[in-house]
Amino acid sequence: MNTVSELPSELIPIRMTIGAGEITAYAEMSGDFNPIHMDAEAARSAGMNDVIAHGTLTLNLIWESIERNLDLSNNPELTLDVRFKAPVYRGETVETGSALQPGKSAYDVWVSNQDGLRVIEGTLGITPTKQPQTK
Amino acid sequence: MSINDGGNNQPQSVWTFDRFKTGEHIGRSTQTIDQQTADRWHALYKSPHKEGGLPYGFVQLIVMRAYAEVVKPRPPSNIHAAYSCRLAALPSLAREIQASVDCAEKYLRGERKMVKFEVTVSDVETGNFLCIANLAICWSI
Repeated sequence: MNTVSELPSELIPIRMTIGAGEITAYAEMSGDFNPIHMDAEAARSAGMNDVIAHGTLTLNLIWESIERNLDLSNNPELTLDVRFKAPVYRGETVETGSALQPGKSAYDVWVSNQDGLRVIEGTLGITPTKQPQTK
Repeated sequence: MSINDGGNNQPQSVWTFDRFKTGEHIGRSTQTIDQQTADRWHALYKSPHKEGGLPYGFVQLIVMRAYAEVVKPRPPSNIHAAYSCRLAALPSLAREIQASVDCAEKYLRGERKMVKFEVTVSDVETGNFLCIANLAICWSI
């Protein structure tokens, strides 16, 4: 597990273009077939411009970013707290971003779309697992 | 991923905002993570396989799967507004995982009807706590 001084100042971003195939694949995995993710007409009826991706489909990119960038070998406790700020429409490209909070084992994390709009925003906390005491 | 809802006595009519009660237990989902689901995850996110473990995001998938399985039928047009979780440990392939779904809170934010669900995930055999998550959903009706 990284100490605060070992944590990178930011996590290497992960980018993904979310097309119909990705949305369908995630719906099948999660069991969430909400029509706003599957049917353009239903999405428009709900006030969207088109089909939108599941928020957690996009959020998983943050988890992937965490996993690929941090040493989690000692199984630290992770806390993630985010808000879904804007929809991600079918065909959009999103990218994760992060910044280490000064002096803390925590990051500001976000996902932006191709226009730089933050569609997800929140914080990640990393708490080391308590090690057994030795004499 | 296979799911057994444990014989939940689900209401057959659509869940509406008025039907939720703060603090009420809604149901449980028992899931077993199989290799096929893990492979689909890796294909979707291009994530590298790691020996002996699943991706961290997989716990979130378990949470969403439990929510979708237990809180049904849902109205169309619900919008996911926020998500938080405390993740203590990862599940393993082929283990039975239980997720318990409660209504943590319901409230109005302006004219929006908000329902917050709490999902607690644990390993069935060991009873070990894996994760607790909160989902805030803007409920459409």
